[in-house]
Amino acid sequence: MKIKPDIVPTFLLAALFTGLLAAFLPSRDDGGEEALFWTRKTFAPASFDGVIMGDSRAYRGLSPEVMEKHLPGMKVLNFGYSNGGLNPEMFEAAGSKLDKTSQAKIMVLAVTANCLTGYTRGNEQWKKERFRSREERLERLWMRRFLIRFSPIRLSELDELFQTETPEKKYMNRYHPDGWVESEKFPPDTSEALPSYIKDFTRYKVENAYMDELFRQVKKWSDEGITVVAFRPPVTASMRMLEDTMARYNEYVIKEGIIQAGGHWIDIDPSEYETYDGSHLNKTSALRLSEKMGRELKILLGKE
Amino acid sequence: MLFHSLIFVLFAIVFFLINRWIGKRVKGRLAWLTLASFFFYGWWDGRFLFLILFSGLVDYGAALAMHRFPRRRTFFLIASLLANIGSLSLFKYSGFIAANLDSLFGLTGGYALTSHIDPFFLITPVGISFYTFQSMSYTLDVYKRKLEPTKNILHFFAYLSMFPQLVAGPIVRAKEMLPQLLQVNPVSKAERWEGLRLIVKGYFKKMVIADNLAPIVVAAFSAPDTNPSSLYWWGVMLAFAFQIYCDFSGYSDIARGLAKWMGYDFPDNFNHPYISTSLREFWTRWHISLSTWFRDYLYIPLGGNRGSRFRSHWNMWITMVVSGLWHGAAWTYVLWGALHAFFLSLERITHLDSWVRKSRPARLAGWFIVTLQVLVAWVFFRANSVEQAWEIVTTMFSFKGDWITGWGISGTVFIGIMVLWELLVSLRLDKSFRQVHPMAEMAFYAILITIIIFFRGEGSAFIYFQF
Repeated sequence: MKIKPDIVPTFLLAALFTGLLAAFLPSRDDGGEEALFWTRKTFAPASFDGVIMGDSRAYRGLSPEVMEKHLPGMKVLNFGYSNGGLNPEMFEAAGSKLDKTSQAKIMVLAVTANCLTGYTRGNEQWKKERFRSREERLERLWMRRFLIRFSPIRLSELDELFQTETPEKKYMNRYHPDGWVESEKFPPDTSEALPSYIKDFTRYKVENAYMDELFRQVKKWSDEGITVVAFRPPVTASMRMLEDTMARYNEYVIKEGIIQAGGHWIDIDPSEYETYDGSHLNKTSALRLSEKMGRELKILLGKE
Repeated sequence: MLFHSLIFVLFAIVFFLINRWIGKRVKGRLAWLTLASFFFYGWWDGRFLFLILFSGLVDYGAALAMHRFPRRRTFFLIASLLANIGSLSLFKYSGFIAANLDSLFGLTGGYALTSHIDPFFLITPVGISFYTFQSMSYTLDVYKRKLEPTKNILHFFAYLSMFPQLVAGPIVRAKEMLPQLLQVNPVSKAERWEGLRLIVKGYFKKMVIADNLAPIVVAAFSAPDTNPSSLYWWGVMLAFAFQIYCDFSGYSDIARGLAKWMGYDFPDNFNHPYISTSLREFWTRWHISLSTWFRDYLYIPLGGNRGSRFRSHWNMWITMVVSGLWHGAAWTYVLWGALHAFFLSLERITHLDSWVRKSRPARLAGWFIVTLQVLVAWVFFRANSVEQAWEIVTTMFSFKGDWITGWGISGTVFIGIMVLWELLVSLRLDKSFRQVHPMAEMAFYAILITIIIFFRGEGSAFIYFQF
C-alpha cells in the first residue's frame, strides 16, 4: 500500500518534537512577567482610592504597597508609564482607575520635565498596551503558565556571544502587581541618563500650554473632591540643573499653579535620595520616598 | 481575531468540529459559516459589525434590484458604489481629508475640521478595504451581467464575511466563490494535506520570518534620528521587503489552507514577487487578487491599453495612485503608488520588460533593477512621513556611513533563509523537494511546526489588517 502524507501523524510527530524540546529546554520567563505587569496595570479595574501618575520615574520611584501602610484601608495603583505624559489622554485613563464609591480619592502626580514636553504627548507605551489585541491580553493573563514552557528561542541572544566585550552592567527589574518596578543597576552610574535627556531636551521643552492643561485638570479633580498631590521626583543635581535650564522646568511656577488650582505640593529634598542612572531611584530610595509620600498623604487626608 | 493566537486555534477547532457535524446540509453550513465569521470579526470590535451588515445589505439589495429592474440598473449600481465608497471614505479617509483641508485653508483651533470629527470615525475598521472591495465586485459583476445575483441572503453573507479571508484577503470574486458555497464537496485526504502545507507555510512566514524581522524595521523607523549609514538603510529595507511579503503572503497562505479544509478554493495571492525581472511581472506576482481587481474594475473601465499611448499611461497612473490610497490614508501611500506608476511608465517607454527576456544576464540585470525600484518604493510605504522617507532615500543613495546592516545574527539568518528560498524557486529547484518520500515530507512539516513554536518572533498583528 502506498503511503500518502496525512495531517494526523504530522501533528502527532510535531507534538512529540515540541514536547521533547519543551521538556529539555530550560523554561524561561522571556519577559512574560513584564508583559503580565503592563497588561494588569493597563486593564486594572476602577477599584483604587489612589492613583499615581507620571513617567518611568513614577513607576520606578513609588511603591503603593509601602504607601498603603500609612493609609489603612486604601488601595493605591502606580499608573506610571515610560514616557507617559501629564496630558488629557493620561488624565482620563488614570482617572478611570479610581473607585467612584471611595470616600477619599487621591491622585498623585510625579511632575517631571519630561511629562510636560511634546515628547511625551503621544503616550506611546500606554497606547501600545491599551490597544493590544484581546487575544494577546488573554494569553498574557490566563495562559502564561502554559506558554512559559514554550518560550521562543531568540537568535538575537546569540549576538551577545559574538560581542568581544562582556556587558559590565547588571540591570535588575522586579515587577510588583501594584504597578511599581523595583529597579537597580550594578554598578550605578549617575551620569548615564544625561546624554539621552540632553538629546530630548534639545528638541522638546516644558510648554506653558501643557502646564495650563495640568492646572485645569488639577482644578477639575479638586472640584470633584479628589485630593491632588504633586511632587518633583528626586534626581541628581546635574539632572535637575539640566531640566531647569535646558528643558525650562520652573518648579516654582508649577508648584504655585498646582496649589492655586486646589492641589497640594510636596517638597522633596533630592539629596536624601539616590539614583542608579541620574534619573531613576534605586530600590532603597524608592522605598524611602514611598514612606515619605505615605506619611504626607496621611496628614493631608487627616488620618493622623 | 489573530490567526497566530491560541484563541484562534480554539475557535478553529470548534468551527471545524461543528462544520463536520453539520455535514452536507448547505443551509446549515452557510448559517454556521456566517455566524462564526461574524463572531470572528466582532471579537476585534463588535461595534463595527454594522459596517459589514450595511455594506452587505446595500449590495445584496442593489444586485437584486438590478436584476429585477434592468433598465434602472445604473441607478442601483451608483447607489451601491456611493454607499460603499461613502463608508470607506468616512471610516478610513475622513481624518486624512480633514487634515489636508485644514492645512490647505489654514484652519486651526475650533475652526479646524479635524476637531469636529467624532473619534469613532477615526478608527479604521479592520479589513474594511478588503470586504468593501469584495462586496463592490459582486454588484459590478451583476451590473455587467457576468453574474446572477443570489436570492439567499445567507449565501451572500457567507461569501462576504468568510472568516479566513475577511480581514486581509485574498479578495475573492463572487462569481468564483458563490457557486462553491452551494456545493458540499467532501474534502479529500490530498486536499487536507494541501491545506496543512499552506497553513504551516503561512505560519512559518508570519511568525518566524516576519515577526523576527519586525524588530529590525521598527527600531530603524522609530529612531528619532535617521541613521546616516547608506548600507544600514539598504539592509533595513531588505528586511522590510521580506517582512511585509512574509506577513501578507503568510496570511494569504493560512486563509487558503483553511478554505481548503472547508472544501473551498481561494485564488493564489502571491507568486514569489521578488524573483520578478520586470516591474510589470512584479505586479502579476504581488497581491494578485488586488492587482486583478484594479485591472478589471478600474484600469480596463478607464480604457486600459486602448487609445493613445499617453492615455494608457494616464490610466495606469490613476490605477496605481488609487491603489496606493487604498492601502492607507496618507501621502506616503500615494507616493508609493505614484512611484510604482513612474517606474512602470519608464519600463513601458524603454521596453525593458521585453529586453530582459533576451538572455540570462539581461534577466539578471532586470531583476536587479526591479529589486532596487521595489526597495526604494517600500521606503515610502513604511515611512512615518514623507520627510522621513525622503531622508532615508537620500541616505540610501549617499553611499556613505558605517558598513553595517544592523541585522545582527537574527536578521542575517532569517533574511538568509528567504534569499535561499527565493533563489531555489527562481532556479526551479524547489520542485525537487516535492518528490520526497511521504514520511520525509510529514517529518519536514512536523519540524516546521516545532520551529514555528520555538522560533516565533514577537507576536504582532498582520500589517495588512490596518488596510
